[in-house]
Amino acid sequence: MTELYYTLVAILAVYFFIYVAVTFVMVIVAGLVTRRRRHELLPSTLREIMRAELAPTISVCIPAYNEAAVVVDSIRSLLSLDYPRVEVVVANDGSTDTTLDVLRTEFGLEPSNRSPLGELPHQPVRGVYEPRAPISLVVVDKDNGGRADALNAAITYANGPLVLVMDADEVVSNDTLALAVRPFLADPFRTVAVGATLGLANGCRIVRGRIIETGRPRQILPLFQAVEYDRSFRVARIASSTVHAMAIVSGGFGLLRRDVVIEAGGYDVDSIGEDFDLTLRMHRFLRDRDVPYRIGQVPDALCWTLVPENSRVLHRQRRRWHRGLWQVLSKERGMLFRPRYGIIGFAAVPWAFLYELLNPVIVVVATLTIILGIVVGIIGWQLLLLIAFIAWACTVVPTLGAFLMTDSPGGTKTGWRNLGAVLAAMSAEMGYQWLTMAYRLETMLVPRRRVAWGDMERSVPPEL
Amino acid sequence: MTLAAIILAGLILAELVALVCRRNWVHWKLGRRQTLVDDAISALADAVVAHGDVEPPQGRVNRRVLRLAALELFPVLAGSSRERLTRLAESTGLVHDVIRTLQRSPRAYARRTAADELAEIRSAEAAPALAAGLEDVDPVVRVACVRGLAWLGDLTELRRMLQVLDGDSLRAPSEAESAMLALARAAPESLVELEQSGSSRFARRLAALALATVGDKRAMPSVLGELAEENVLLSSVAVRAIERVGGEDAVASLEHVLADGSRDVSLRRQAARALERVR
Amino acid sequence: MVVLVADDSVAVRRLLSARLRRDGHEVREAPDGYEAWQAIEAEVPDLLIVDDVLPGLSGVELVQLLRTRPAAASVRIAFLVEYDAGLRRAAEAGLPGSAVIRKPFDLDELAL
Repeated sequence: MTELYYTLVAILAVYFFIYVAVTFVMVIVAGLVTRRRRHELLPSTLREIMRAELAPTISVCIPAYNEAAVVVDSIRSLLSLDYPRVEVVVANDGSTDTTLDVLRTEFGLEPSNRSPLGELPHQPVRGVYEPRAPISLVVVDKDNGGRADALNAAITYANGPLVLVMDADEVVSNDTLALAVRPFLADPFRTVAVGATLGLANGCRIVRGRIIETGRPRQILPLFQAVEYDRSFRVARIASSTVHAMAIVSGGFGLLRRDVVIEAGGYDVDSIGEDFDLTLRMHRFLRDRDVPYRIGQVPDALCWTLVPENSRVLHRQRRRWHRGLWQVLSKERGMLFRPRYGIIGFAAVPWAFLYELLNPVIVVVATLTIILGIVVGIIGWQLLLLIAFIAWACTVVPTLGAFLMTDSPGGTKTGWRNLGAVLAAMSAEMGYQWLTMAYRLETMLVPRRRVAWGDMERSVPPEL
Repeated sequence: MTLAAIILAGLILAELVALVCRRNWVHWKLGRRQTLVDDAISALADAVVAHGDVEPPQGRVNRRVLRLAALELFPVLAGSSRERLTRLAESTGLVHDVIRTLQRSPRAYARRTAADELAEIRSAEAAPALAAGLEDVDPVVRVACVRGLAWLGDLTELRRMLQVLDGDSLRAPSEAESAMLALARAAPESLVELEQSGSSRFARRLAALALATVGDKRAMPSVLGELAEENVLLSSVAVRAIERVGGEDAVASLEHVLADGSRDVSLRRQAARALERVR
Repeated sequence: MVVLVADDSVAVRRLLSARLRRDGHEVREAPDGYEAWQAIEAEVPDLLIVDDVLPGLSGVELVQLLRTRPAAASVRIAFLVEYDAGLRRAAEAGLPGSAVIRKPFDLDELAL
């Protein structure tokens, strides 16, 4: 019996040790890379990019479902960014509110004769419109089909070689596009996808689609998420992109090469984690064909998004994320440990499987093991405290590391003023992590219910 | 395990200390220092308008503040008022300061920024330092110096500048692009040479695109090569480059793309629109 | 003449202010669209020099808002434009008699 127990403890120890070690390495790598990237961008360079005659057109593809309140501001703000060539393609996903009417009135839409570029699966298109005035906007009106579906439709009507996938309620800053396009300028032969840093819009003053003032969220739940997002975007993704193991380009901001997306089949309309699904599929598609490619992350390009402020919406979001994760991983399990998929098959996918998908289960097992150990007397209070401290420290170290790498923790310039509050939040974050873990566990244990999209639409865990 | 806990605790402590220092610095940068910079901007603006002078600043902080202020002003100005600002930069010792950084700083980042600042200031005093910077150990510094010399219009080191562009464009792509654009205007033959015999595909492509941007027809063969690429990013940029060059060859190639049913639909659409503007 | 300069760049504001003050005009500054609007409501300027990419209300939106106020109908407008995209936007705002100032500008050449 005791042998079994110790074997279990050994396995768990290895599991957690790997997690700690990898996290530690990621923080260091991310720190070095962020410094280097920042030191590579010279002030004149950004201005030159914004002035470039031959800058590639970016088609911003926005799926819109009942976004009447924000869609116009979002479009106008995107069209007024300092990037030479921007086009906005909005896919009205069968909205039941006044989204289409609002667009029609605001922009004077007329039927357009633009034809779709390629074949991507989506619900039937009811009509395609463009404004009478020379505004680079296309509105694709279609039957409802979900985010992935709407994105496919938008992409097929996009003109530019690059498509930017984002949501209607997100906000970018003036230089975001110019910063995000740099990997494509530096390596146009291989770069196929680029992600940016998502920050929290909660607590920012946003008016008419533009950030007036960044600020930290007032409520505790978004504050925890701010910390979570920082860890993911400023540490994990940067580190993984350095070793070409970036498993996901977030659907919250994904700058993709249109032809590769279309060739890889576009988004999977049945997928809940469609951005994760597409990224893995792009990896698989390109590696299968031995095409050299790069998927990267630009830490200084910022995009702000709203996160759930109450636990009900958070619950729904995390359930959906975990369902999506499960779905994508089982679909792409063929990539596991196949040499041809290189680091994706040997590191990224297994990591997602073990440390994202199964994490809640293993943590529960570990907790039970510890409790058993206490009950039986093998584990004393000191050891328990030590374990608890290490567990806590392992989240705090990367988070603090993430803060150090930026002038604006949580994407906010005033983040520093609220350092005390954020540090306090970090200490209590364990509670939050247990909460999200409970949500994820529930997803795995409780039989499936229909998962609705609801208000917040970010589809995959930020930890990846 | 205890060891792990101690290491982690130490790390957290170190990070917290670093965080507090960082916070204080950001506060300074965005707060008090920004106020000083704003004041310096006012002083420089008044001097430029009134054809006046500015006192050379005393102390490291004030010199830094003046530097930051001047570099916010340069991109906004053009023509004779900009030249006056350059004279002010020279008379206050600012150019000298930046040159010193380029020549002496052990940090590559500082030298890169210095080269960039000299490029922006466009003072002839900086030419020797920029020329020397072409031999810097850091590739980004080298390319930034090429850009500086190109923007100054100083082409005495043209040969070496081209060598740097050929070898280092990959490391400093955007800087190389703007340097080549300046050279395309000032010394197009040199760029044609780079475009034809450059050692990296990236440099050759950039050279071709720079030439195309200024309408030089000699770029056409390379650009047509880009047009044939499957990669829609390359071919799409090529269509725009062809449009900039214009002329009969441009029209012919665009018509060819338009008629070719196997090409990407949006590329053909783009070609159609380009044709409207070129014809 | 009372001039309002609305631009988020301190450098732009101070340069234009210095030049305008030398010519004897009174200058107000605003770093974003909202403060600009507040300044206009407090005292309608004779000339509004506005950056088209302004935080808060953009230059174009500010001008459109101005149009809705009869008191502000006589305000002359000049757009500060840096990139071609801005030229397009300024043209779209389509106000007859409004000027466009290209950044970077030569202070000596500005005919105000």
